[in-house]
Amino acid sequence: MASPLEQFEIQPIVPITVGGLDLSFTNSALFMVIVIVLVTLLLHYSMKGRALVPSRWQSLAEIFYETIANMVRDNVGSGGRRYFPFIFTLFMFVLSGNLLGLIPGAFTVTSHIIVTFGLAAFIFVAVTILGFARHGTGYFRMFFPHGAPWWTGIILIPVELVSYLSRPISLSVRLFANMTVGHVLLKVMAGFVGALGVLGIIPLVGLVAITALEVMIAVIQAYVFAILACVYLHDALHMH
Amino acid sequence: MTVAPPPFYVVAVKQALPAGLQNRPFAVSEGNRLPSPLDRLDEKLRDARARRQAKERGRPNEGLGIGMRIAVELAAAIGVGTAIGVVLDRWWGTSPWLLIVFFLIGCVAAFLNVYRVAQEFEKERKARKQADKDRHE
Repeated sequence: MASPLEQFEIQPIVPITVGGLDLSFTNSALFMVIVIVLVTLLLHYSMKGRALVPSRWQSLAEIFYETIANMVRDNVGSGGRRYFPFIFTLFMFVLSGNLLGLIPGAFTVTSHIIVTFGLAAFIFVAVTILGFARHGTGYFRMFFPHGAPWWTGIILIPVELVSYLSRPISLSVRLFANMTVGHVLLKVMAGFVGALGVLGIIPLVGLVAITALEVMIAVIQAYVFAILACVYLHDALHMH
Repeated sequence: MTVAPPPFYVVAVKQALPAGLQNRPFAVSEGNRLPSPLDRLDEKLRDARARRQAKERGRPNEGLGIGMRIAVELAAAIGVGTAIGVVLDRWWGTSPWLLIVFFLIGCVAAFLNVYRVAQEFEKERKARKQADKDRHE
């Protein structure tokens, strides 16, 4: 039987090597391209009608738009609208990546920590640069609570620094762990269906339920990823 | 003097309605005033607004999301603290002192993170409760 981890293997489709670096076009890259193409097509064609009374597809696109618009307004606060396109792109990419991975045989791009860490690190670096651009050296006050006696800084500054640095780690690990665990669980359960013969109906029922749960987790994790990006943006713009 | 029975078409329409609506007086308002579509509009508007606010504040992360967030938050801060300790030890050759110090700092940062997450959820819960109250008033 195939290993439950086999689904996460990276296979080169078009091998490319540039100066000793392996830049092959892999199954992971292929699915990222599919995700981007699907999202672009979905949003382009669903909004083509621009009807006052929306069609089903247009309603779908409007739901995405409104969810993220509300999220940005509630969590970033004033001046947040400028960052809406970024948050929206991020959300659509993660959401589609999560959902597309649930199709049997598809590759889950968000089940690789380097992908989620890449996204999280980009957010972290961008937010830090934004914070310093906005507040100058005043941004260092992020690492010291307002009004605390100066000598507590000996402990508080390293603690706040570690807390700040742990943001991209927790952001990326959360998404990656949820996706990987879900897919391994599905594969292990599916293995029991064949192995148990007639009794395999029991794990099969469980499998259906877990698939539904996985769809929910895929949506929730995309939402949480986007909302935390909003919260970090808020901290950079308004400093707590 | 007894009240005259309603005309046959009113009876027919009433019977065709779903059970919950059958006993609602329709097109009959207090006094002799004609029913206006603006009756109760304020109330309906307020209801709709409260519902919308509640929906906007309600976020789809229930127990599972909270648990996962706190667990990852704990692990991430301790991991980052320990990693900083190991790297600084290697640079300055102070093994194992900075590892110990930064591990402890990481633990404190982990609890700080968890505290902040909890605070966030508490704020959210209060907002939702307030929205519920607004709706019922």
